[in-house]
Amino acid sequence: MYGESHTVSQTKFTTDMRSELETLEQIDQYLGGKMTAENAASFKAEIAADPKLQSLVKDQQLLIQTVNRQALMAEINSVAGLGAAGGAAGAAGWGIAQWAITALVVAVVGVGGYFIYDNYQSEDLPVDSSEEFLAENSVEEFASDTGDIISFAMEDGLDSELEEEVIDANVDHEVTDRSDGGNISVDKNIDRNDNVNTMVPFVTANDVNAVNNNEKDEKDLSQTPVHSVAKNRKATYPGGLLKMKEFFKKEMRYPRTPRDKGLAGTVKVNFLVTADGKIMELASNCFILKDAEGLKLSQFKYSSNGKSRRIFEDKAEAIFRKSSPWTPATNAEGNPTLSEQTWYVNFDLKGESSIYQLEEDVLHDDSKIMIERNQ
Amino acid sequence: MTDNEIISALKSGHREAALKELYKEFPKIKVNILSSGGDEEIARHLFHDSLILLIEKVNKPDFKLTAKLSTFLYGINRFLWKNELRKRHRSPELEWKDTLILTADEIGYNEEKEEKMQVLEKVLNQVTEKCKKIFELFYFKKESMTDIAKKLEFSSVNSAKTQKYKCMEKAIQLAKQSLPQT
Repeated sequence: MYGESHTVSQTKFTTDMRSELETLEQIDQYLGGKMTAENAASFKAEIAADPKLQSLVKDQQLLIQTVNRQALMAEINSVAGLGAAGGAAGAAGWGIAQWAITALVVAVVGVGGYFIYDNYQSEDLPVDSSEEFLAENSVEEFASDTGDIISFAMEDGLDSELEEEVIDANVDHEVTDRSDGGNISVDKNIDRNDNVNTMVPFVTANDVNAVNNNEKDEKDLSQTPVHSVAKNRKATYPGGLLKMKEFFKKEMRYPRTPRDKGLAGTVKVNFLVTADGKIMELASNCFILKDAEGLKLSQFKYSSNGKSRRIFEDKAEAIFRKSSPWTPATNAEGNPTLSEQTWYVNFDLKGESSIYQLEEDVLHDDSKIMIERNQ
Repeated sequence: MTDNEIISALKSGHREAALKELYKEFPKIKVNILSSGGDEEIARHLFHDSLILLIEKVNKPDFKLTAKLSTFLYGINRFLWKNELRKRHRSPELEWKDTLILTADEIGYNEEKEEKMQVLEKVLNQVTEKCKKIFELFYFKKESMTDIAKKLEFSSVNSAKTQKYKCMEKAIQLAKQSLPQT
């Protein structure tokens, strides 16, 4: 046995196939746990010292694992009654087809969510009444046939909602100007046009929030219709929204790099609150960057400021990470349960940075569009 | 079957009964996935992946069961579904009952590694049938090279070993072509 490990040290220096064959066998023995402890230890030392051998072991290990997975998948498929052949091949080709299906599902869910939301919001919708659509059972069919119309319906809905807020804040002009600008710079392409329009109210809603004081924010959020079968209580920061805002103000330090560049931005933060109140799986996306004047950066400038976006994202995540533990959500029986939270952090150069939450489903849909557009 | 019976079956080569037992959990898991924007196909796909991750996990020498096995399986599925949703830029609330919240480390899931293995899966479809058979018999069924030489009608054990070596070399070479970073 000792002689064997000696052979290995020789193989390092030769490309002779016989010795490579021996190397392969040794890797097999090593990975399969068939070496004596002594040999395994010396082989391990050898691997550590030889990068080429190291990558060979890694490759071989991964390949063996893949071989095993394929065989396991065949077993699983036969238990599932799917026949062995369908498995591996199906798994490989699955990705792309799934995307198409997903896109449709996402669209349908988003649209469905919107109409429920819309029902709450306004009776006097300028487009064909949403009730009519709701009555239809097959939302899917209608989504694929009249996708464009829906998009516009959404846009109108957002605008009408926006108007109320805008009047309060007296920034009517600014809003109109900006949305016009957006329309001019983007061409006839309906889809893209759409994105811009849904984005503009969003940015503005944001600004409005920054202008308004905390009390107003509080009111808006409490009035937001909760359509997601909410018999359960949501997770909260201990003491509630106001305390969370206080916490944010206390923790907020405007990051230096974007400040020096005169950049502001908005970050969407998503995380889980576990049943024992811990914050987990923080994820964030800085989907808007603005210049010192508060104007949204062009697509190009947005793309080229990846570092600032990441700094904003890190900062936003860090604040929420530090806010742990929370009061967990409760389920219908009143027991603490895992739940999810979505927040927005608005970085404002004039020291009015704030955090807020918005009506969820409408928001999900918007931010999804923006994420895709910005990539 | 008890959890321990399932685990020892998953460690042995006789997994069928254990897999059938675990498959009973699929309908409940599927409901959770369907209720947050998934469909039957993705549910089944993720469930199968979760079974593989479970088998790999169980076979690790340091594996200790700290919760009910079904709870652990739920946790893996929730993780995979969450991961899938993240790729789709969606993040609806996931309120799964009786589940564990598991991290990628706890499951033994590594995105980069998974991507490499997807490439290797394709590589394995490019090597000859005989190579695939040798790999499967040797690495999966853990048969000896002597038995494999007999079964696949090689003239000698050595020629079977040489063939295995050539197969491995070919597979790694193919993998290198598709995986520029390694």
